[in-house]
This record gives sequence, structure tokens and C-alpha cells, in this order.
Amino acid sequence: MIARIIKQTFQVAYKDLLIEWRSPQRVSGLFFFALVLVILVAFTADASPGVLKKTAGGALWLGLLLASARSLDLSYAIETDNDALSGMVRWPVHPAAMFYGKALANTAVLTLVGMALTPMVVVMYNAPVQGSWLQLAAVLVLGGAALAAPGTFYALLTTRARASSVLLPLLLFPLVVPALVAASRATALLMDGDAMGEAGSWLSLLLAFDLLHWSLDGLFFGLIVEER
Amino acid sequence: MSFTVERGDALMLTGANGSGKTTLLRCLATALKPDHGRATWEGVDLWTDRAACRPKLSLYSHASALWEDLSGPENLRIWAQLGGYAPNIEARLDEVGLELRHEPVRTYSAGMRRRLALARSLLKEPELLLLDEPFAALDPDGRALVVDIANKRRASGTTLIIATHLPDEAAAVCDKRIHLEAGRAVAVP
Amino acid sequence: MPAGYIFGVVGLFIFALTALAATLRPGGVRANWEHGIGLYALGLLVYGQYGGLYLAPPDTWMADVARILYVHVPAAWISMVAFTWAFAAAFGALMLERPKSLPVLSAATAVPGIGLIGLAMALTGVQRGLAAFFGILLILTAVECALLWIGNRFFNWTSDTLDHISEASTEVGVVLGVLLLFLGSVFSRPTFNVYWTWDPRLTASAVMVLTFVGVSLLRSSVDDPITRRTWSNVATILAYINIPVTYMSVKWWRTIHQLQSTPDTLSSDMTFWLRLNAWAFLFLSIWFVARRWRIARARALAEAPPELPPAPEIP
Repeated sequence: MIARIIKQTFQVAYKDLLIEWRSPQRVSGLFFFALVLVILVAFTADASPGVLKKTAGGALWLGLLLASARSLDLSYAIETDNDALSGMVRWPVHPAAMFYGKALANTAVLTLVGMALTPMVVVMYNAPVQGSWLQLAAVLVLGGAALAAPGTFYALLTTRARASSVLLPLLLFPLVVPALVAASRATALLMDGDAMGEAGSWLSLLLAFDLLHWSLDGLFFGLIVEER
Repeated sequence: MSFTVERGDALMLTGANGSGKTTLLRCLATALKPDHGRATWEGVDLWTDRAACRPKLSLYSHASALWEDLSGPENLRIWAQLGGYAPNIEARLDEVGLELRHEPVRTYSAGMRRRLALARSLLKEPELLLLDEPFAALDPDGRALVVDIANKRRASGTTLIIATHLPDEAAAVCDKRIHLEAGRAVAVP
Repeated sequence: MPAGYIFGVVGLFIFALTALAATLRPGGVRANWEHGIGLYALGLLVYGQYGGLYLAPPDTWMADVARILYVHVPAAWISMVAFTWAFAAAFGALMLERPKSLPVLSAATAVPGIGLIGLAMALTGVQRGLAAFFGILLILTAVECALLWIGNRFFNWTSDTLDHISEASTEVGVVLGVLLLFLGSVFSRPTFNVYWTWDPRLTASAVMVLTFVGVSLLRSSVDDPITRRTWSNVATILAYINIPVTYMSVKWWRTIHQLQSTPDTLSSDMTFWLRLNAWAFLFLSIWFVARRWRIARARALAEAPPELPPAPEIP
């Protein structure tokens, strides 16, 4: 049973990533959307280098967060076009496999976009990474996972509800405040050299958030995926 | 309404639009929870034991459950893997009269999609095959093909329930008929 | 027993008495039984606010400005209480869809819960706190499951009843939360010379209120009653569990000031009026929740599909 769920999880993730691979304009569109946001944040901030440098981590994660809402919508659009989602429920694909598969694929996409975006932020905000690159990569992976898990969960709710395009950000954004705070603080610290070694505690907060949502959301997904 | 279908039977559901054919099929396919009443398969309640029943039934309907950005063979392969069913893609495609093409489903015509969706619902080799408007959007060849496939499945012991507006086509498969009017079974007009 | 608690005991007594009388009344539940506690709450509120404004001594540091605490702090406490109701009711609504699992879950949480409390006795420091926290959490779950089982078995509680309570509590919590944020801002201006302080508690409260606004909107955006019930209950549980994480993150993010508004730093006279107002808010929100619950129930009855007439013979 467990082995089958794990197998199905990777099959679902593979399927989602294959679809992203077949239509690369989606991921690249996402990247440029996030890039535009990063640039816009710079316009709204003070242009002096010191301030820009301090804003860099926040801009990166704000861009990623807003892009993630679009990406999550799209990740369900491919399922609801021809009702493949309910087809999977009845196939039957285990709900946990559907959740973790989609969440893994969304994590991969967000992390990828984040990794492509980081050099842009570094250059444009004149914020060279003085801390550990390895830690920054960890922030990107854990942060991507932190946006992906509740995102995968709530995007399913909102694709089926009325007024979904407003509802998803409203439900998702307040919920991921801890992830946003932790990821952007850790990123800012790592860009600034992290003299006090504080990035580690932000990473652990991010990890705690990930553990909470990857476990609970997976547990509850079965309740919401079944159409009545 | 209440009815029983024996293993290997083929039942035709007819009725005007909105008479409840699709709703009935969706209830039988465990896509909908029945508001009232219950349906059982070999004594097992379809909804409460849906985990046990789902591998045995397959619904083919206007919702094709295909991923538009993947090709037909890829769709079939992934669906087969997800269920742990034997893929033999070429045979499946051949059965519904499709060639092995690697263009995404997005570029398929309506009839080709229907054929591919039919191939998908046959991947399971279900014990109970539910066909919702199987003749819609198909050319005469396609309709003959559906009749042929349905008859073959029936001969190998699959139970069929077909909802259709075309009783003449379905009559080539089915020997029983229920006519629905506003959610109730009535005499065939 | 410190003075002030007596008002709470009286209120709970009134609530229990009216609820019991309404339930046991021959000929069905009496309508509007909750007005008893409502009237008591209003009386307490008038007395408490009068006391807070005129009878309580002015604060040593902030003089009369601090009198806003008699509304601000109760709103903060009771909005949290209302969200806790919403959470407990949402959990209950989900569990009542599987009533058979209730005794099992109750036993399965009670045993490790008691074990953890025992462990907490033996431990010290942070470990003791953690063990005690999770122990209490498990025991509360066990108690709730037991209560749900009794309610389901003997009092005909259904998933719907609790769902309506969750809906009502969420909205009452949001209203109190908005009041809390508004008053926090009013208090902040003369005290810190800004309308908004990015104080961890205030910020976490703002995020919490927004989260529950989202839950409320989700509830109003789903048409099918059963889907709506499941989805909003799940969303309520997630929103509630997220509160401590949000608080932690905001606390680490910025700690400008710490204004302890717990009774410890206040004079005993002020504590008395604060408690009195907190009781008033508590009973007021019980009243509101009961009223809102009636609306939710009436709406659900209006939505319910009509009973089907018996089916005719099959041709």
C-alpha cells in the first residue's frame, strides 16, 4: 500500500514535470513574471544602494510568492481542463499521492524559478551573496516547498470555488507569512554575510513550517479532493 | 427507481437532456455521492466502499481526463502506470483506430480525442464499463467501432451500461433498456 | 477566589441553566433561550465599561489613555477564544462525520496525553514545557472526542450543528479581531507616536484575522453544502494551527517593544475591571455565536433539498 502510494507520488510528479517540460513557456513566463515584480519592487523602494541591498531578499520572495499563485492556478488548470483530476480520484490514485506528487512538482518549479531569479536580484539590487551559497540553496528549496505545500492544497479548493482568482491569494498569503518572513530574512542575511550566524535559525523555522504543512495538508487533501 | 444488472448484461439508458442519465452514471462511477438511495456491486456498496470498487469500474464520458500538453501515447502510458495496468499502447491505440502519433492532444480533432478517451477508459479492463454518450462526436466508422468494442467486452464478461440519445446504435449492444424522465424510470415511449 | 471570577461563575451558571431548561423543556427546544446570557452580558459590559472609565485608577505610566485596555485586551483574549471555538467545532464537525472513530481516538489520545503529563512532572526546563504542552493538547483532544461521542450518542449532535458553530465563531472572532486591531492602533498613537507598531502580537493578530477572513470568504464561495462544510472546516483547522508559527516568526522578525498587558503588571483594581470586561466580552460573544448559529441553521434548512416523494413502479 505505502509502496504503491510512493510510486504513484513520483508518477504524478513526473507527469506534472513532463507537462511543464512540454510547454516550457509556462515556466519561463513564470520567471519573467517574477522578474518584473522584482524590478517593480525596486521602483517602489528607495533607489539608494544601501536600501536596495536590504530589500533584495524581500523582493526575491515577494516575486516568487506572487508568481507561485499563478503557477498553482496553472497546475490545476491542466487537471481541470478535461477533468483529469476526478479521473485520477476514480482511477484510483491515492489522494496522498496526488497531493505529494503535485506538491513536489510545484516545489521543483518554484525552486527552479527562484534559482534563476537569485542572480538577477544579486545583480540588480547590487547585493552580492556574502554568506554560504549552500545555505542559500537550502533556503530556496525549503522556501519553495513552504509555498508549494499549502499552495497545492488551497489552489485545489479555490479552483472549484466561485471567485477563485481572488480567493487563492487571500487564503494562501496570510497563511504563508511565516515562510515568507523566514525565507526573506534568511536570504537577506546570507546576502549580507550573516555575521551573527542567524540564518540557521530562520532555516529551522522554515523547516518547521514545511514539516507542519507537508504533513497536515497531505492528511487533509483526501477530504477535499473527493467531489461529492 | 431501482434496477439490477447481471454480470455480462448490457443496459441502455435513454431519456431527454436533463432526465438524469449522466447523474445516474456518475453515481454508479463513484464520481457523485448519491443524495438518496444506494448502489451495490456484488453486494458491496459502491460509495461507502468506493476504494474497493473503483479499480473495477470505468466511466467513459465527455470529460476525457486527458492532459492536453502530452501526446496520446504518453497519456495512455501515464494512466496505465498510475493504475498499475499493462500499457501495450500500440494495441490500445489500434483497437480504437488511432495511429501512434506524438503530437500533443491539444492538436487532436474532437473525434480523435473521443477515441483516445475510450482507449483510456479501457486500460483498466473494467468489470463494469459505463459509457456516457459513447457515439457523440464520432463518424459512422467510429460509431461502428464503439459498437464493436462494446460487443467484444460484453462477450468477455464485462457488464455495460450505456447512456445515449441514439437507441438504434446502442441496440446493437444492449438487450435491456430503461427510459428516464426527470430522474424516474418510465415506459419506453 | 479573587473578586471578578464570581461574575464569570454567575454567567456560566445562567448559560448552563438556560441551555438545560431549553433542552429539557417538554414540547421541544424553546426558541431564543440564549437571550438570558445576552442580557447578563450587556449588563456586565455596561458595569465593566463604567468601572473601567470612571472607577478604576489611572495607569501610572499612561494615565487615562490606558483605559482603552478595558476594551482592547478583552477583545484580544476573546477573539482568540472565539477562534479556538471555531477550531474545536471544525475539528468536531469533521470527526462527527466518522462517529465510530471517536471512542478510539479519545482513548488513543488520552493514554499518551497522560503519559506526557507524567513525563513533564519528571522533566525540567524547556523539555518540561514541551511535554506538558503536547500532553495537554492530547488530553484536550481526548476530552473533546469523548464529549463529541456523548453529544452524538445522546443529544443528536450532527456535523452540521458543529459546522454552524464554527461558522458563527469564525465571524465573531473576526469582528473582535478587527476591533482589537483598530483599538491597538488608537492606543498606539498617543503611546508610541505611531498608528501601527510592528509589535509581534499586534502583527500576528492582524495576520490571524486576515487568515480567518479568508476562511469566511471560502465558506461563502462554495455552493454545495456538504463540500462547503468539509472545505471550510479543514481551512479553519489549518488557519488555527498556523497561528503559533506565525507568532513565532513575527516575534523573531522584530521585537520593538514589549508591553505586557497581562494582569501581573497592573494594580489589583485594574485587574478586577479587566477581568470583569473579559467576562462581559466572553458572554457577549457566546450570545453572538448563538444568534449567528441560528442564522446559519435557518439558512441550511432553507437550502436542504426537498424530501422526495415515493418512487413509482418500474416499467
